[in-house]
Amino acid sequence: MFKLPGPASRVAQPVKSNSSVLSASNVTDLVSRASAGDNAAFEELYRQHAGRVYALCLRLSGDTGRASELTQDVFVRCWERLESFRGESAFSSWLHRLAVNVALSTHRRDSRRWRRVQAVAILPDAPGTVRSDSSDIDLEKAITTLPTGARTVFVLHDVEGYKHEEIANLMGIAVGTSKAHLFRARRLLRKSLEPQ
Amino acid sequence: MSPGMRIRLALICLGVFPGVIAAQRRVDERHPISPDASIRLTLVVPMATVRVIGWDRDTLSITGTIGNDDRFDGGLLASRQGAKFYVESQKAFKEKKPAASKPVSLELRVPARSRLWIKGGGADVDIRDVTGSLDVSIVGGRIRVAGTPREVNAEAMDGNIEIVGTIPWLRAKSAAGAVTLNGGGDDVALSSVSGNVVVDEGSITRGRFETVTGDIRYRGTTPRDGSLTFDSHSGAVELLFSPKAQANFDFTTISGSISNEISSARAIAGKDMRRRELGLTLGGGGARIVARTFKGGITLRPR
Amino acid sequence: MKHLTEEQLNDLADDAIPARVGPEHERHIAECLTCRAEIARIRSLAKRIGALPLSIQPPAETWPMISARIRNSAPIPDQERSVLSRRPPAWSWLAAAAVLLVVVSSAVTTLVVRRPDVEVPATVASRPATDNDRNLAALSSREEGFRNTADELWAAVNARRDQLSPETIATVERSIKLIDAAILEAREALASDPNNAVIADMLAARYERKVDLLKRATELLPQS
Repeated sequence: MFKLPGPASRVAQPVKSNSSVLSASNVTDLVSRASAGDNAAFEELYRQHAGRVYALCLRLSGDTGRASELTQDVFVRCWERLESFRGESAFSSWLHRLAVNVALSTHRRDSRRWRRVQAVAILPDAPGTVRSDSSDIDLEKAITTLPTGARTVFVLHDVEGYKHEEIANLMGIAVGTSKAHLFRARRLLRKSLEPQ
Repeated sequence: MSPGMRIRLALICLGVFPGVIAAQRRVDERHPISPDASIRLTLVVPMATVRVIGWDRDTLSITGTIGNDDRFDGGLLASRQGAKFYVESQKAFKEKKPAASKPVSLELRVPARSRLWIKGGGADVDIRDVTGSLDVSIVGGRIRVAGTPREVNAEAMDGNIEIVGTIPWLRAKSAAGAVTLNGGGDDVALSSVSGNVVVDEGSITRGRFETVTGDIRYRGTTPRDGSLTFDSHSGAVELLFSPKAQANFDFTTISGSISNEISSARAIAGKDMRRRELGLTLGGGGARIVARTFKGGITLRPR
Repeated sequence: MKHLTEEQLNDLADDAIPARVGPEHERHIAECLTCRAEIARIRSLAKRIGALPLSIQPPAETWPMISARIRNSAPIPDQERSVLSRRPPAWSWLAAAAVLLVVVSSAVTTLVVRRPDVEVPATVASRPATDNDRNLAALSSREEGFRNTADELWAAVNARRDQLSPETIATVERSIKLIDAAILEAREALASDPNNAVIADMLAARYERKVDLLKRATELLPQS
């Protein structure tokens, strides 16, 4: 039986960059220098973590342009808040949580202001909008067509490994609602991916 | 000549235009939609002509012609709050044969209060009678907006931008194209690198107009609490104001000239003797009008 | 025969503790082909999800955009705050530079305009650093930062120039050339007239135009 690992194990995985596994001390050093205003150190942190953040933003937003903007917002927020990072968790986990918060709060704001994120999400997108390193393009495309709530819970739970209690807390919804979104998302994906 | 025109002319010269017409297909869609819906149109084609007309109906209508091989896709949000469409020329971008791509011509009729977002490569975009917000970005071609949208953001690379109407919030910028406003607004910023920036008629409360080598011409008014800034590196700045205007003028140029044809005041050398300055008050003062150039001439004329 | 609910099926597929799955449900699963098939389908989907990449490279222009934004919001040392904290647009640091230039020598100004052919007098270099020196160093670094931003944006465009039409590339190059010529003229004028706040302001405006143009060019690139 499968069980996706929880956020701590998935989020805090060492990230490979330039064919070398990053050491904790290297990251700590980079964070410390970046927090003192060292742009080069911050750029290195970006290089190491951008792929992870962008993948999350892409799946949550379902749109490459939006994902790029969200990634920018996440790293700008990260830059502004680096001093508040105390090293109690891995930097990658801290950044990941920050990315989720930025993506969700941006979505809430946009929903109120324009109600357009949903429009972007459920409509067929411009050519080349969803691409990934994965060969499972159909699945990636199908994820973008999910209704926003279902997609958000699905990405956080099944892709990122968050628990329903954590998702409920992040999204301000009941645990039961989180589960209902997830089951709906899985049902819609199966319907979309399996031969009729 | 714009790239689009070149493509059209090339097609005519090659005698392929009749084939083009035959190889086109019609688009004809109508959808009920919210009166303040967000409508997005993406054009991944070498050249398109898009006409958008705001109307007093809660219906989105898209009609026109596209190439047989072009991909036309999109749809509406179930809530009818949004719509998103795109046209992609397979030949131009997948097979890298721009000349083989058929010109796209679309007419959109949208609820007047819509929020429109249009992005295209080469496109002539003509929008009228929309009162919502407009965000239009093209590379070549032309953007023309007529009416009174509450917000306009228009960007072109080498295309011209022409706005006719009074827009509360307006941003228009081009790199090589001209930017022209015939009307006014509360908060206006127009810029071009090498194209001219022209404001003809209308009243602007807060305005900023900037070029690098293009000329700037302002023929309009500003209220007494208005503030206008004109900035060019080597382009000429020509300002036409009524001699009865209530304004303070503050002109500076590093190595250009300053000419005042509205009063007897003449420019003087700056304190450091390295620049020319002219300070002038008309009608007891009021609006703040600042012009500065590096080497372009500044001229104040009566209108 | 009553089938399992969607929640029970998902709980079983997830291997979650099926509190609501009792012995009668287990018997049902053992006998019911439909429910077993449903659980298998959910697991099959999960297997595909598990194989999705956790990392996808963002478009090349993302970092230059971030870089430009964080430079504009860079942490400001306390001694600079009084001069630079009121900066509504990102560029007023150059106006502040002009104010500072009034009170320092033209030799120090060469740090700001970074003319390589002018040496900084040893007397300036060796005396204890003042707040103005530190501010100028910070300003100089920021000017360099904006130049780097423009360079990075241009590199992002250049790396994928084949994805833009030749006409677009030609327009961008032509425009950049015009702006660069204007920047050069303004910088040379500032070098010979370091107290001129108008020129410093013009220089800032030209840099702003250049970065804005390059940002727009990156936005024209197809999403990758």
